[in-house]
Amino acid sequence: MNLVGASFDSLPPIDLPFRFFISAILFPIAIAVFILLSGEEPWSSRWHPAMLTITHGFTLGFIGCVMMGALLQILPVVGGISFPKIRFVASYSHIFHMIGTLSLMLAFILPITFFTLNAAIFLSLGFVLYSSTALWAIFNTKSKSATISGIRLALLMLIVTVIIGVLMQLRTLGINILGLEKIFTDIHAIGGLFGWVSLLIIAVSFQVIPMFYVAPNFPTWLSNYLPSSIALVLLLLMITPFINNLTEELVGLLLILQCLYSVNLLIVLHRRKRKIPDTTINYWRLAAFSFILLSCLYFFPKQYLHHRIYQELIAPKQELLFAAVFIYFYLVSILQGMLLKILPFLTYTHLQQRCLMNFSAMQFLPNMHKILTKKHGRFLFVFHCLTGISLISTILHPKFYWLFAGLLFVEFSFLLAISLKVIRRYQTCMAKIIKQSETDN
Amino acid sequence: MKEVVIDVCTLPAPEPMQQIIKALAQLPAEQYLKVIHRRQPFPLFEQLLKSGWDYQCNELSNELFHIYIFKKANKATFSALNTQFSLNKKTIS
Repeated sequence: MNLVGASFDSLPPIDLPFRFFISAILFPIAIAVFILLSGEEPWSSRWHPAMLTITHGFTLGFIGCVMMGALLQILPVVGGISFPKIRFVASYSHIFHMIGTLSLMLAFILPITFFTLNAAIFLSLGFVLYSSTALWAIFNTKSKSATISGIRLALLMLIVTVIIGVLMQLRTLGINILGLEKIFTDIHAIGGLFGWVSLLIIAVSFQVIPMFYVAPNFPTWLSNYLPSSIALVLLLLMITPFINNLTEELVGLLLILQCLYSVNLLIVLHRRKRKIPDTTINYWRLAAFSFILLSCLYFFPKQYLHHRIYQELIAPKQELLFAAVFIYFYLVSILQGMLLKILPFLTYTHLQQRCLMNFSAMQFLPNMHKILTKKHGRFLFVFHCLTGISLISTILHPKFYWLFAGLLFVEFSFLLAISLKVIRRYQTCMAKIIKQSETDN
Repeated sequence: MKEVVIDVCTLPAPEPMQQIIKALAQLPAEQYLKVIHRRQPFPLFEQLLKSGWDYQCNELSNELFHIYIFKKANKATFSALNTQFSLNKKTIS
């Protein structure tokens, strides 16, 4: 490709991704308080209304917000494209997403029609506005990179997940289009977690891992075929329950494909050129190892698991355990690591770009590694691991719910504190740069 | 026009941008900067155009890009040299 003076839409104003990130961090803090007030009962089943509030707080609240904020910023960096009318789209999809998610969380514990209706309306408005604009931008780019193709598939999966989710919500209002089969809940969960979130992470990592860690590119066969293979398996998973019951085989295949990614992720990180210690790499490694371990447990022949501890303690909670490991140790780990990396990166990049217009302002650029210190990153990682262990303990022994709630509260309050510190640093430096520019002019 | 070359292939983001800005700040008039990069720095392109610079990006492979940055005022002089770069590049589109 030969680019001569081509014009690109601008990076979004920094406040747009940051509002998604700060909102995202507030959700686990609120969930921690909710867990503390709810006691042991929600941990009895994944279908318990309070447990549904907790899982949706994590998936829509934390994970959804981080993904939406990150994609706003990542598209211009990896593809030279941006959302059209970005301030309008980001502001409104953020507000709709907030109202929708909070309404849904409340709708599970307070079965009032107002919340259910609110959740269905605002979540669909937010996601439709966001995903259709993102798809419009992506379909209008000439880039054919694996990352762009993967993001496209992830957005299509998001739309399918949202449609099923809204139809499920309407079912509680008496509008029964889907029927009463629980299979839709599984399709909704798998489509959202593997299709939207995990597929997007995989696609974006093809670019950001080599970019941030000076690692080699992922193998071409993997980056070219893995996202479409995952999407195909997900599509079959959505169709086959109505034709032929191949669900178990397809879930197995999905796990194998995800493991293939995890193994390659570990190899690429191991082969990076500059082996500087970096906590965010530990987050990626923790996620990859957790997923591989999860898959090993899934494939372990159940006929050998006769031990009393497994039968009495683990077997009844197996689904909840698998979901918790996947969400907390895989998805939340990657997203928290990504936040630690992109908060200082965004701050620095936005400040740096101002210096291109006025070189004398470079004196006010902070040291990027001091915007968010390594010590803070390490501290957060340790807390994240402890919180994860306490989550597993709480699923197995619900009497530990207070420990999980406490650790979760401390972990995300600390993340909130360091994120606000980064924003404060940005504002201070930007004020100095603007003042310098005015003086020079 | 003389050429100043920097290689940022082994630097993690956002250090390449940092090095490019430093090099541009010190770039004498009538010279241009050649950046050897492993990816296309899209946000840089946009800022260059806003700040009175122009550029040409040549893709030599999936992991190797040569980016030429020059003052907009020097565009005519640079264009005269352009044929020379075109011989060494793989033009996809």
